[in-house]
Amino acid sequence: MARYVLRRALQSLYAVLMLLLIVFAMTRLTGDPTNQYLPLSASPQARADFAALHGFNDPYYVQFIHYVSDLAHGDFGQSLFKQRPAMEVALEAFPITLTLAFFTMSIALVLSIVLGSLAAMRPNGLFDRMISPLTIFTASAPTFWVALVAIFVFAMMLGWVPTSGMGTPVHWILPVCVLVLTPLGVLTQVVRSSMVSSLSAPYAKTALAKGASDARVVFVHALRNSLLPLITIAGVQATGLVNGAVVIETIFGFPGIGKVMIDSIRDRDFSLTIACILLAAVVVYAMNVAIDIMYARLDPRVQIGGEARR
Amino acid sequence: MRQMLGRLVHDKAALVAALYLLAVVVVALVAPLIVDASLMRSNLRLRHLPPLHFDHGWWYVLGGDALGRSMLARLVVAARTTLAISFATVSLSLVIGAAIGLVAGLSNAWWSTAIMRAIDVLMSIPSLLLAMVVLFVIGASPPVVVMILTVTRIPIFARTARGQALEIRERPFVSASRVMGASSLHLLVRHMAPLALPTLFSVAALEFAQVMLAESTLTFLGIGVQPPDVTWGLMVSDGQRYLATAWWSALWPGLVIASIALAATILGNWFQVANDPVLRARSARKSRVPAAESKVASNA
Repeated sequence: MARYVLRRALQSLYAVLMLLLIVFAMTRLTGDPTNQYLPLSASPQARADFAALHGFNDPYYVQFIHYVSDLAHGDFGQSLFKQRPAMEVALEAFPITLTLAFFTMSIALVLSIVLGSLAAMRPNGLFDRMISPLTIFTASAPTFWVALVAIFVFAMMLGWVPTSGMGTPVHWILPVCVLVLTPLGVLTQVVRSSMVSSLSAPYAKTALAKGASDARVVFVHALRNSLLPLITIAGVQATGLVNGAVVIETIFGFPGIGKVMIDSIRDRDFSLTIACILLAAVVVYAMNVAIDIMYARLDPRVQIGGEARR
Repeated sequence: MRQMLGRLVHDKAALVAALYLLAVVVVALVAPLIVDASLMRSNLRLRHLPPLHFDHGWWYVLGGDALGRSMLARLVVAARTTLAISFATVSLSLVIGAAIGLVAGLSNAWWSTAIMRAIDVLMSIPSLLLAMVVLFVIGASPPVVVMILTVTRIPIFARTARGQALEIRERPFVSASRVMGASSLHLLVRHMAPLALPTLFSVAALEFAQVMLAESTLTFLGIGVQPPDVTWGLMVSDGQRYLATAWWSALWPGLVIASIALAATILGNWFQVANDPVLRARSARKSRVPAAESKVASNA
């Protein structure tokens, strides 16, 4: 077990390093960053000083080693716009995004299990016919547009909730409801289809024949086996939640990591962008490792440490 | 082909989706012929003209935008850019991904494993984050958007193609061909590719929806396509500012994005079922089972 966790962590580290290399190459190969950071009116002397200060005159590999060693010392550079260490800004914003993601994922998981199971109990029944098209729709509607429509209807026309900002719990209702739609749609489809096949498996029929109620067969016997695909896809969706959070935070004015990321791009605040991206990537990888471990614990058939486990 | 059309007519939802997509593509293709230049010029008297009135002619049935341009005409023009970007992205990633996947699936050599490991890493990088860095540094224009979206989509096609190749290469007729001395290239082009294509096409249809959503999102956030180019995502972003006074300027383009993504998803799911005899038999017996597995692949 420990060896498996270690191996997965190493794989993730490798992926993060690749991302780092890509980010680094992008920032350096497209030209001297001096021109990006200093105003047009800067004197040649100021440019030379700036380049010397940040070591832009060194060969690329030397720059990369400096860059990585700074990172290893926990130095993510200064945010030029906020005049503070970049990681500090990023870490301040992160809990908000995590809370948003936590509520969204919990609601999506619970609701998708209930809705998917109910739809699978009577395939092609009335409920299934209503739910299935709806799930395809919520999974294919663009999040940013749904958010705008929701603001228009629920905040502007009906005035039930505030349009943006945060502070009271009421401010969280609309963002979470909008963000939950995509994962909910996808996960409900997954639960439904895996539940349909679980329910037609011999063990489900045996349970029914022995007199178990429908609900018991669905939620006790079949659910456990239907959980596996759900967990895999929930992991993928949770990664996608990073994308969704960027959109939702921008629209609803949440000072989370997504908002910070987009603002830093608009302000050309490069070290802050990279700090946010690395933070988000590390969390995503950590989550994927956690999901794989959970997967193995839930399904004894999965050989931990084995090859080709997907 | 004829057989496929016959099956399409039997599935009402897929038929409607196909006709809708066809109509949108035709409109996008003939856009320069039907959209008069005057409709794209600003006309402040028609600023935020409310929709669903015919007082100013057909073109203003969906209302006017913040500069008094016809919403409908803008939608039609934006259809060209939006669809072209999505189509180019999906085609490129299909060709490159399929080539990588098939070649990797044909061989057991170390480089085949190395390629797939690299693909895994690429897949695990959150796509929006990668796109942000690239667009931030290189600057946004449609070709760059296509490039970056292609890179993020290649892994899905490569993995699908490799899975197919691994299965197909063990079939007797491929072994027979190999034993008779066929070259790897021959095996790849004549035997593997034709059999892998239907699956790849259905993935492509599902990917089309995802790519369009990704492009719209990037553009909406202001880091994708920039004016004067116009896509539906950009129109929603423009309309966002006038949500309180002119709700229609954000509503229509988003509705178009959603409906096309929906149609492409339905068609992709249908194509998958129609091409797979096992799924087809199941769906004939137990009615339609939305192919959630495919959704899964496309969201990865």
